[in-house]
Amino acid sequence: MSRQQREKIDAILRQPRPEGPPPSVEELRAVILDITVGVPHVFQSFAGGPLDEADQALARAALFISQHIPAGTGQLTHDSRTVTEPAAIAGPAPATIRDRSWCPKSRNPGRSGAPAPGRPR
Amino acid sequence: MTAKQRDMIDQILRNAPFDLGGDVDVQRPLLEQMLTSQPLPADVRTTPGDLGGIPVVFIDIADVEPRGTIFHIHGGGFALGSAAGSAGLASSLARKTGMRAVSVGPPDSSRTTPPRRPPPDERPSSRPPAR
Repeated sequence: MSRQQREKIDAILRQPRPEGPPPSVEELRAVILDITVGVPHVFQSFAGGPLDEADQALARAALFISQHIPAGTGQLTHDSRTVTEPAAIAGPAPATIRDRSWCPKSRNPGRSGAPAPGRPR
Repeated sequence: MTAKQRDMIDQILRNAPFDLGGDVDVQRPLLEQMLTSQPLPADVRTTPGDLGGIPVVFIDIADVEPRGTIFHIHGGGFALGSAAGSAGLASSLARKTGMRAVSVGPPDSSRTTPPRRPPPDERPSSRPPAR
């Protein structure tokens, strides 16, 4: 990636998200391929250690996540009783995601299943 | 990356007992040992649990009110790695975003059951036979 390309992408990422409805699924599908040359596989694991590129890559990933996930969405409790609807995060979801059969019991009162032993409440 | 950093990374990787070409059953605990050799920061809390029947590890940063949840799926080709083994990476991302992370999979690789799939050339073909 050239410096010019990096600056252009960086400027795009740093644009503040306007207040309003959450981004659409199409928006969320937009990704940026970030290539770091000369580093080993899963080099991000070296974050906080000897590799500066690892910290930089995680910082870029964190920035991307922060700008694409509005604050206050995606709440997930430790006992997995509350899962935000995918549609609430990403607008209209494909029909397969609207199927609630995967949801924990609190969102599917008809489904059985007690909390696992020892699970924090 | 400086030359010194490159040498250090090179030394870490070359001295590691993990052999990507080795037997999966042997390499799995070695990789786990590598991934968990560095203790997590003191303020990282990991809690094994389940999500819809799937084992996960919840990863929280102490004294941080999470503004969302990161759903983290570790790599390893369905044969290597574990939720706990990726807690370091997931917690770093959680810290930088002010979120909580959920790492999917058994808490340690000893509970991982890799799929036993036949090699591609031994799998039954779904294509109709050629005429």
